[in-house]
Amino acid sequence: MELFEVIYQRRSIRSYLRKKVDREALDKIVDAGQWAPTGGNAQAWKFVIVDNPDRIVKLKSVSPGMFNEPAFVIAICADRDAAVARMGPQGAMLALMDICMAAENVLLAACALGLGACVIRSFHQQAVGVILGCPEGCVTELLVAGGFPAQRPVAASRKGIEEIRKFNRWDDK
Amino acid sequence: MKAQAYEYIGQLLCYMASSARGLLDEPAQYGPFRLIDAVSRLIEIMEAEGPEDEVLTNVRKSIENGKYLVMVDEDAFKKMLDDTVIALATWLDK
Repeated sequence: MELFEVIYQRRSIRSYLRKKVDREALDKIVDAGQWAPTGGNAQAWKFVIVDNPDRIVKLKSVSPGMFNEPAFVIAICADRDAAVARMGPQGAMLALMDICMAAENVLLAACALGLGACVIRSFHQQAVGVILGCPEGCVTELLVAGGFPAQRPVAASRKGIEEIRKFNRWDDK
Repeated sequence: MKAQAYEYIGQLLCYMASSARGLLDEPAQYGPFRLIDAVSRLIEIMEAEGPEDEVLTNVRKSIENGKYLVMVDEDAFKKMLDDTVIALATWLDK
């Protein structure tokens, strides 16, 4: 799919077919994630792919924003200690921003591969850390749940471009 | 209680406790959303473990079809909640 087609076709998919996604595709998705911009090339992130159904159920139990039965969940984690060591006091914030950009790449890559995915922030970070076995200093910032889509939601509306865009100054002068 | 039901209810407990914590920092409309989602999940457990009940199954389906309206159409979400309460009250009073 052409880039703009992927951007416009992507939806938050929360319902999935009971069909496994192969690990080659999952690696491809994560690789797309790590090609997102990263401040100072810090790459202070880890992508934990969960494709074991029993572990997904456990993650779902502490993630109120996760629905139905995803075939995979990608936990995008920040290595805050590494980020601060490399980027200074703003490191943790920069790592969070990097992870947001990586998540968008993950979502677009999933869409381009014919998969559906949904980014999730409604989860208990410490509980997810326990389930994933995250080391100290690493924290899960976002989850991306996905699988083969069982739905094709109508696009939520967006504001008109004139409403959100300014040229050169806020007052367009 | 059957082992399977015990496990499902345990998952629901985790969901509700995580929701309680999360809702302190989340948008206000997520509160009713989490509660009605918990109703749907509870019905799912009843369906798996209890006798067949068409009314409850229909209530769950209605919730599943309408719960995401909270993000796009609050009036329609409110109507879905009203319909759910009425259906459950009628069911309880049967």
